[in-house]
Amino acid sequence: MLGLTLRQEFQGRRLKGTAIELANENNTGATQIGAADFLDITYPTADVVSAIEAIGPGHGQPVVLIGERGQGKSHLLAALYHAFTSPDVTSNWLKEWGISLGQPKLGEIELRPKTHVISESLHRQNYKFLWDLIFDRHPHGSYIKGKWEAQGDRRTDIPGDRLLIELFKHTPTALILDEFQTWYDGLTNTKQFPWRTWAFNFIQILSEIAKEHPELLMLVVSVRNGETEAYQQVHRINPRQIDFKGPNARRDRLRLLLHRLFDNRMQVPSQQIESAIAAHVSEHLRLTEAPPAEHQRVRAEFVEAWPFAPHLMALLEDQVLVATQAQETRDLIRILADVFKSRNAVSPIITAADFRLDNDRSGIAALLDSVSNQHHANLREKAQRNLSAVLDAVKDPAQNVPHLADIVSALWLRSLAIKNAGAEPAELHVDITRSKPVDSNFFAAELSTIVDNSFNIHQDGSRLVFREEENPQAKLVANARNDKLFGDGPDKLNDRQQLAREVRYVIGGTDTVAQAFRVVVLGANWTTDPWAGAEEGDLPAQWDDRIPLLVVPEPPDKVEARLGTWLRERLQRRRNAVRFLLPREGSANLFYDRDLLVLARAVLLAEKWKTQSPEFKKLHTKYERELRDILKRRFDRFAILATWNFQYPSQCTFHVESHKAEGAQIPETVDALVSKNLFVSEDFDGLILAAALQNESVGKLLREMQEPRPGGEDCIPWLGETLMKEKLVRICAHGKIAINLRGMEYLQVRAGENEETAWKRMRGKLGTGKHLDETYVLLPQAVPHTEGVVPPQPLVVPTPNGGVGGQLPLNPQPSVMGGDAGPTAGTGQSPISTSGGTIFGGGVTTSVRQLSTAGATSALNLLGKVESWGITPGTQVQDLQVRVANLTGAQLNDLLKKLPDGITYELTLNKEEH
Amino acid sequence: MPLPLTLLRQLQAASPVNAWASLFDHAWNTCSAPLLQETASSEVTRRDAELGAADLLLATAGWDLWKSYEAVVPRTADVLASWWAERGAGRAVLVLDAFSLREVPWLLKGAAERGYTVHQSRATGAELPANTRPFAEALGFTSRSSLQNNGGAGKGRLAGAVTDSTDLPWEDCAALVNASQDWLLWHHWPDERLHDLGAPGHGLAALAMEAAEKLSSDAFWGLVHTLTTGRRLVITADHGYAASGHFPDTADSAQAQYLKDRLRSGRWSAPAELEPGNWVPPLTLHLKTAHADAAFALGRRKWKSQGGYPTLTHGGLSLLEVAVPFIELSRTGGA
Repeated sequence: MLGLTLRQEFQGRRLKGTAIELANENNTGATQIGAADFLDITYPTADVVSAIEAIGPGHGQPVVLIGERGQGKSHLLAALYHAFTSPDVTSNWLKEWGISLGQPKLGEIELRPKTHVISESLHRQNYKFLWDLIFDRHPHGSYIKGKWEAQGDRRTDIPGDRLLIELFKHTPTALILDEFQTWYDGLTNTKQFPWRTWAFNFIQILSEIAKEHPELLMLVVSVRNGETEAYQQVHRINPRQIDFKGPNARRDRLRLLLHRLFDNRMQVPSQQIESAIAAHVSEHLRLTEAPPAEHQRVRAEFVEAWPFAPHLMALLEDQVLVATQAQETRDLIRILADVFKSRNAVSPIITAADFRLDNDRSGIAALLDSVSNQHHANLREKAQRNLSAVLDAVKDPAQNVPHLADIVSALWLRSLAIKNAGAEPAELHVDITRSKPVDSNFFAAELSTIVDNSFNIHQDGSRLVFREEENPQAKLVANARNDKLFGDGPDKLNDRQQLAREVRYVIGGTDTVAQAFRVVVLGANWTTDPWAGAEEGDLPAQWDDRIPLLVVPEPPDKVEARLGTWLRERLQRRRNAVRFLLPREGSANLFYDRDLLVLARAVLLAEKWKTQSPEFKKLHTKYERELRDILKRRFDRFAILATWNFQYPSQCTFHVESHKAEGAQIPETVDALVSKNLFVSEDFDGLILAAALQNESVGKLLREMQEPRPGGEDCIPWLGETLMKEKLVRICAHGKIAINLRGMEYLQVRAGENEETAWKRMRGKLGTGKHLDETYVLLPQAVPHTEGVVPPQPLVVPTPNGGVGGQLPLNPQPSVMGGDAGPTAGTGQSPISTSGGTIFGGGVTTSVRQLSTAGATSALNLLGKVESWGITPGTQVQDLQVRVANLTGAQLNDLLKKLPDGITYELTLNKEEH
Repeated sequence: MPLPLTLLRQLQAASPVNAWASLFDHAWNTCSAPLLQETASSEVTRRDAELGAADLLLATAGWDLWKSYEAVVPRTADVLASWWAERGAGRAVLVLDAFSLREVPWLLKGAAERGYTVHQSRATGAELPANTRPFAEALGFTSRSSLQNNGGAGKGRLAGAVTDSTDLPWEDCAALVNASQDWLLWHHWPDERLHDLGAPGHGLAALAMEAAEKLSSDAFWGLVHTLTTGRRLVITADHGYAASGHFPDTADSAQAQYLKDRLRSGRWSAPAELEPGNWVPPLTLHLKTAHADAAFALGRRKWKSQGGYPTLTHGGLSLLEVAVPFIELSRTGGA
């Protein structure tokens, strides 16, 4: 990458830590190596310069470094150490930087002459008390220590300030205390061992000396934050605070990083950089829709941050590392060194996409070392698994998703952020853009392929984000897109069968439709193997009386020739009964339409998984609806045989019509269109009359009608057995034919009967199944006609009862009814005279009927009988006789009192004489 | 199908003798034309329907002709007896029970194909009622069953005949026929089948198919061969049958009830215990015949009855019930 080289220390296979130690046993500590060597890896950030200024002559301020781990506190302390011990080298160093940075003021900073330095990393716990350190390391220390100890009873717990001033007067000293807070917070503080209190007190003394006598003592301490008491003590004396948060801190740190990482970053010309990253930057500007006024600044930022993209640095610093236990700059250095090492050969600029998940040698390992967070480790694992899932699912990944690893890596890294986790598609687009722009459409397609095939990518508004939990939808879709899971094999899920099932349900779904029509979806290779995958019951041999509606999976190129040939070769019977449902012109084969297949698979998988999670149940419903919505509009035409040519099936003709219905309405709409537009009643009548001439059975006739008519005659569309039978009976009711129902009943219009009455009488009389074979269509025959009356009922001649019991002769009353034929029947045993009127008596022309009960019964039954004879209040009744066998005088009186007035009665009875 | 005009004129104007003769001729001509086995059931049904016109006329305009039937129609038993008397020894009679004119084409066709000489073929009349027993009685036997196992020997009008009555398969019947000079064989086919095929759903079409097959079979002609060996053979029947399944329903419920009360599921009933109806034209005809004093169903009508009215029956007054074939055959080398 433009000849940029990492510093030697980062070139090894395994990176050492970059933590700075002031001194160590190997004598490789920052204060133990030469000032020139150390300063070579030091960049004069504002903080460094400010600290060096603070310790210069005339300033004499104590310096406090405040910052969390890894921000470079130790590095700065080391730099100060060298400024104290090697002011010449440091001054030269500053001058050189002043020139290269164009800040001549750097070279003008005055440095204190060589000063004795006591520096210690307190966390190493080499000294029990702070004064031990000073007495030990100061040339005059042992003398003062002896003086202090020799005080005997007057000896204080802590060396007094006079002793200390004396000490520092002997040799002015700079005291550099690293990890001061760590040490202080770890001190015991009890009544017996008030060490912390002593430390506090001693610091107070040191602070005051440093304040009063800056020429004698320079105090430099580093703390992690400003909350500790120890710091508070130093703070009282108005120290120079270096908190790494200055206005240019970010820029400084970037430069520091680059300087720290690379040998020759300063030597790479910015023109070369600009041209190397031109494509990336311009895509960035385009995709982030940066305002033109900003362009210059943004370009400068990119050049400045090279070889890292500024958006990557921002991401790492502000989002990723904050979210983790990383040690700021220190870890950032390792991460960047690592990623640069693995990617500098291929990328002109390092972006989030260079954090390759598929390459362990990339910066990931280092990053994860610092990211000691289980959540993020899991996320990395998921992202890796998604990566392989996409590779599995997508055919020819190199061609279809060339940026797969880049995109997944970038998205993963961006998903680690604490705020706004995840990425906008545009951000990902920028991340993967290197030396050549990536076409936006291509990128959109690629990204959606990846999203569809991975199951941990969630959509959050417009942002995409990796999450630990699986996105059930993504998982479902990812699996649905995996071609390897589906097929005809026994261990695979049959997606085509599911699709066929859905089509059948969509068109023939509801029960009402299913009863009248049989929807059969022909197989993918419908011309050669139409019944592949069809259920047993859908094979033509198993077809019942329902009208077969065959769903053709693809629009045939030459409809008539293709369907004609198909009928001849693939169907042996009921060729005239089938209806073809054709897909929209120009659509692909149903079973090769990938979108539909994926939906069908999603339905299939969701169905299978829905016991695992209610989410899948919802998805099942969702995808099922989606699939059905597509399917129900797919088949917009139907074809039905018009003329048949067995010898040359390509010359068959078909009626091909659009039906304008959707889904479950299709069969009925088609049926209605066929019977309304294509069914020719006259043809049907002619056929039936011809059959009647031949005395054919209805069963045979119906079977014949389901076959095409030979000789190029127009085929009569088959409307189903019920409708055809109805039409047949209609013709019968019209009087053109007669139907003999199994020799049991002869349906023929009667003389004087109109069509409607005949229809009402005949409808529903035709049987089904085998009975139809025994039912014949005939020409009507003459029927012998007879008129007449029912002969009179045989007489029940009343027999006189031997009159032992009381027999009350009741005179027959000439009441309502006129004369009638024959004597009426009596009601039992009474020997009442039965002489009645004679037929034709009185010249009455109205006909009369004689009615009689068969025997004696109760008055209530008689009332019922009278009603059943149809005698209403207006009916005239003649020659009424009521016969009573036995009666008391009281009953007779009662009876007579109830007889209506205005009529005369004749009474005859037999009175018992004593 | 209308009645031929000449026939109609004859029926209206000619004497009963001529009227009946032309009716029988008409029936014979209609039924005896050649048939094809494939279209047998449909064609037989058509012919049956065609003769419906003659029956309609007899039922609704010329019912008085029935009164002269016994007097003027040459009845099978008489024709047979006189034929028997005229010829010397070497006679055989095959009575096929309920063999009607409809089945004649198969006999004529078979005879022609197999080299038989047909000496006469015509329609003769059954006894009234057109039943088995009256015919047996007319021949001088007590019943059909009395002929079994030569039980009729020495009785009846066909003197000297060895008799048998059976429903064995044709082959077995052929084996039954011994070398006696004169034979009377009364076979129960197709009458026995009328009862099976008379159930709803079968009827004429099924019987027509069966007849076509049976009468074209080598077995049947084997029997004919045996019977014609040294004998002149007459094939005839005691009565025909009505394809009542094709009869129109009696629409008027009073009429249907009337018919049902009197005739149940049959075509005639004796004694005529119930009052004759006041129907014009009559639904039933009361006739006092040589064998019964009975009411007969007049013409083609059927009615609903318990168990269903049979689709094949006999005994009533319709042409194909009373007209039976009378076919005299011989074989070269036979007689």
